[in-house]
Amino acid sequence: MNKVITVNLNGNAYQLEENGYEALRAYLQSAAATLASNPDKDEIIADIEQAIADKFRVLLSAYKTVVTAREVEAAISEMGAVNDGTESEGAASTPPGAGSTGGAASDQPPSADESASTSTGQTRRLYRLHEGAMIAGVCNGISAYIGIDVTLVRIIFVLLAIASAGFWSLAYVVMMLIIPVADSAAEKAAAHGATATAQEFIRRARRGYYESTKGFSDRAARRAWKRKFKREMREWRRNFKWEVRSNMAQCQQNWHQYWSKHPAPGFEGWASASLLGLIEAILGILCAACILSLILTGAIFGLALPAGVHLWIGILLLVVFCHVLTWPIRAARHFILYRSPYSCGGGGLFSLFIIFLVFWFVFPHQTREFIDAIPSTVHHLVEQLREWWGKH
Amino acid sequence: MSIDEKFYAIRKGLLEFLVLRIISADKVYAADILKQLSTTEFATQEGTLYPLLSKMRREGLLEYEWRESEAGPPRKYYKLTGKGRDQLRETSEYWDKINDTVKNLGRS
Repeated sequence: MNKVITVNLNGNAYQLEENGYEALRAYLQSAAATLASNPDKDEIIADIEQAIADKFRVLLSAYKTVVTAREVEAAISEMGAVNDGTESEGAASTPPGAGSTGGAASDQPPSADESASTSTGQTRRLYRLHEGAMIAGVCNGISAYIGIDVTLVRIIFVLLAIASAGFWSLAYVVMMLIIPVADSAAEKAAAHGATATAQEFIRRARRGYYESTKGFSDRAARRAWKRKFKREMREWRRNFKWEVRSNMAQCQQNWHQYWSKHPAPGFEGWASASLLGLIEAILGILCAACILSLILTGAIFGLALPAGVHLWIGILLLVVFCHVLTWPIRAARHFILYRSPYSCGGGGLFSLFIIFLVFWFVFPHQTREFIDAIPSTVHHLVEQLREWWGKH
Repeated sequence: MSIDEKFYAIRKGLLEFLVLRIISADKVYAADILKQLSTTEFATQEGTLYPLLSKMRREGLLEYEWRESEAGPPRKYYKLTGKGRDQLRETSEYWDKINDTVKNLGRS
């Protein structure tokens, strides 16, 4: 049976056996003595405490809450004597034998690294993420950017592609060309960006709060500051709630206004609109199937492209054809639902077409190369899928 | 005197160069640096690395930012400053020159 002493290592409590505590205290004292003339002494000591705390944390679990004296000794020998880098004597890397025994054991599992980089302090940027991507990582990047599940993003993309008669796939291609790929770890971290939640805010504010209380020597001043901080936090929370509530009220009001201006169509209206929607969706799927068949076999139902016509022209023509085909259905549906003529129908198509043309002119070579490479890529994917299917 | 002891001073002098190289590749925190060094002849312990990192930061070669970690408290992630990159380039060139000299001298 050994006496246990609780210590504070850089803000976290750890329970050590008494002998271990003595050893750790001696180690930290000698470190402080070595660094006495170092201007960053406090910071280095804090770093060292943190590193020791990290080593201890790995050792502890729900059923093991005390760090033994031997474990403290082991951690200290892994840390090595503190050498002030500015001194000429005794500042060097230790022989490999001594260092390598400690190096691997002291490191945290790599999963901890990954999670550390997912919530960074920097601003978020939209990148394509290749890890876990299905095609080019657009959905993956978007899911990281807005912070929702990638499967949900993919389902939304597929639904959009069907609802827009294949147009959304063109949008995907455009995004694929515009959005840069996250290559370095820093870019990947930026793709996930900071989580600007209230919790994060509160944690940061608290950290700042504790930092600033350190500077107060006077108890009264500290208490006053504490009161002020709490009041500010309360105020902030109240403002946040108020904002949410007013936003919701605004939303509700808009909704009511909309429905009072636009009378809801009757049951027949809804039914026929839904039927038309279904037909449109089926046509959309058919169109997508045609495009797929064109890419895979170079022909639609045995109808090959005329010689000299590029694949991209075929795809473009097919997409335009589908859009024109479904236009009357969309117009009818729009009229039933909103009682107003369907005027902006070509808007989306037109803008997409313009984007495509712009790309065509700006990067003629890459665009053509990309589209020409689609068949081989898709073939490759299909092969892989088939292989996978065969295995399972 | 073993080779290990003979090259003690050289390893010591090169450590900063290697740390610059490791940090230039990616944003890392201290345990990453130790891990990368641990399998080499330059295996180092925290007691040496932390003062070195703080010295390099004082000299303006590095800077760090705090990043949240889900597994524990926030960590310091280090990256090179412009000055650090310049120094790395100069040191690399110098190192290449030394290497050439070592390789070519005394050969006929």
